[in-house]
Amino acid sequence: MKTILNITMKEFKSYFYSPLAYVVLCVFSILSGYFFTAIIFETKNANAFSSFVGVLSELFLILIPVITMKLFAEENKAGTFELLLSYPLKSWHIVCGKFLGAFLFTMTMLIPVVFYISFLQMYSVPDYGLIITSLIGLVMLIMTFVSVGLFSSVITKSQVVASISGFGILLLLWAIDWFKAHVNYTFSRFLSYISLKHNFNWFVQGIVDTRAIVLFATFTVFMLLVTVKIIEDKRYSS
Amino acid sequence: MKKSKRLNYRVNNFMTIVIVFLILVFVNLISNIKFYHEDISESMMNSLSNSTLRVLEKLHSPLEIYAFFKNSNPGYSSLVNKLEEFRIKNNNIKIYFADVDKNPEKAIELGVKNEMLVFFYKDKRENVYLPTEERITGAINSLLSEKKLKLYFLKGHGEKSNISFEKDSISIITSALKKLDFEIEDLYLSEHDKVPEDCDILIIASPKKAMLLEEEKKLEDYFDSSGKIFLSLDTKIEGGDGWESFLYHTGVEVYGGVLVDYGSNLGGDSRIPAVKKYRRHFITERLSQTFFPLTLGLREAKEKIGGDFYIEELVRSDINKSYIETGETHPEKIEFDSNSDIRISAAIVIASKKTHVKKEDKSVEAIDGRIVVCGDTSFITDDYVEKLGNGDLFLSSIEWLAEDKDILAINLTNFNRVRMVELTNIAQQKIFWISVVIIPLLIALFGILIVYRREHE
Repeated sequence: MKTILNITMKEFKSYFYSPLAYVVLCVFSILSGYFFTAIIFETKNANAFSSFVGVLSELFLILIPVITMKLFAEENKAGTFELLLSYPLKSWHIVCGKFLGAFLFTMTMLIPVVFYISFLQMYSVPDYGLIITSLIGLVMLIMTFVSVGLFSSVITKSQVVASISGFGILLLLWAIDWFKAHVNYTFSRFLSYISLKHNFNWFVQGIVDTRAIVLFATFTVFMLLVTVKIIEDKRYSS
Repeated sequence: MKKSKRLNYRVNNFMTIVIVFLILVFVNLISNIKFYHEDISESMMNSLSNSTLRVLEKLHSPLEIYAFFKNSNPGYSSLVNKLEEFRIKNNNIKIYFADVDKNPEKAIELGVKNEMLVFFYKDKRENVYLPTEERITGAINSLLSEKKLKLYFLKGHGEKSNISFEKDSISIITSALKKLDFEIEDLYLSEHDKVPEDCDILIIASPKKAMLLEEEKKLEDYFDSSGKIFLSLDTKIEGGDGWESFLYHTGVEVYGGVLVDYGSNLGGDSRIPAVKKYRRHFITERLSQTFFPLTLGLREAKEKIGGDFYIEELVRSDINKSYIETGETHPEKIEFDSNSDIRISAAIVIASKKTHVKKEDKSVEAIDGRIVVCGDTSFITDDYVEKLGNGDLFLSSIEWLAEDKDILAINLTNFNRVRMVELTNIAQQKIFWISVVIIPLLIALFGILIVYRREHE
């Protein structure tokens, strides 16, 4: 556990040594601030916070592959990956540590949201049930996105390829239920069930649905497992 | 040899992935069979209304819903989600989706076309077009109910019209009540010797003329025989004594003047009190903000006559910043006049329940007479009823009046779960600058500082 924590903190701190992290944080805070003000000023409704969280989820769809692209691809390209594998660390320690580091960094991006909620508290009577479920959904979604980003980073040496492939996988999983209009009812229900967007929508509607929680959790576990197995394979090869 | 070992290792890895995948699929299948699905938001804006849930609780036999919808229809997804909510709440509901073009035999058998729902319950059938929650619940309620409830609109005293194109009409609430399966009729009380026996609820929307003494007596008798009344007043009552004495009979008093509220109002107009905190009651449960243009102030009568009452002031003006303008009202100038105006917080909506009535022979009879009195009628006119929680307040009142009578109130609009954000221009500018400029600027400065320091180290 201590090993995982060490890797997590190392990975988390490493983000703040790079200008890219501040660019991502800055761009994200401008966009999130802009969307928050636009939505709240337009609707004058504190419950529109859930629409704002919906927009955030789409921003994360684009930004998380950028955040996670360096996790393994950078080490692969710099040739330090083999060095990392030579350490007496278990593969799942490395994967969990890097996953948690990227996850924590993504969570820091949500700090401005605390200010937005305080604005709602100052000028309205916000529905905290809705806010809490929306944030829980967002955290679950970030977990899943980071696990996919981690996976796409381990399969290539190029950060650009890692970022684009991560985005592609996420977009497919996000929008898979767009096809449901063209299939029969039973299959459309199946597509909805595996669609990240459909499951995330329960949370932004103020609904706690254990099926969505289980899906996000199992999906994250599965992506981490596949990443671990790829690393083990590389370790065996090297 | 080395290659075969590596292959074995890869096969092992692959098998592990497949096994874990199957286990996770199994976990998902289990979670799909036994799951928790609950709206924990206070607004309950995306879940079924309480009334729908109450109706679904009464459904103990299988109900089949055939949804004839093209899956390319823009409303298809939301219908699927909505019906799924119904199915989650009651396992007796079975849903079948079909497209008339792809499944013509079934369509011919049932005599249907696309974009409609057909409900089958026992040997009864109901069709629903344009399926909203209120229509679906109305249909289920109708299948479960033995008889339709009858609602009368009192006429003959200048009450609001139910016809849509007339000014200040209340046609939207009338059509909403029809969709909820009420039977609706007008009532001219002077033509009857009493309020009809089949009257489940009597609505009196903004009487402007005085009523006859006989009419007043008929209304009092109706109330004392467990009658249910919704009465909304208007600031322009000519000779309102009859109405005031009738209200006094129900335990409610009216202040003689328009209520002005500086503390909480709509858009800075103090003659439109806006309320978002209510006394806890069936009617105000989960009610969002409501507003009342030009309302009279009400209060619980100090002395009640003719029996025992349980009276609750559900909606009140601001405790410190409101007064009753008793003098002449000037549309442009709103100013407190210490000589004529009364500085007081008044009720805007009162629910009164008479539990016992004293008979002439001094015996006491248990009754359940109910009345909801509103100081304003504008809030239910077509111009305002779909705004904020106004429609909900009306329908919840009807539901409370008809409690235990299988009636339901469904959200009248999509906008009824609004939590108003009251922003002045200065507040807007402050929020915009902090959110879009100051926070990103701080992050950028922090980043520049860290990167600069690292490079120089």
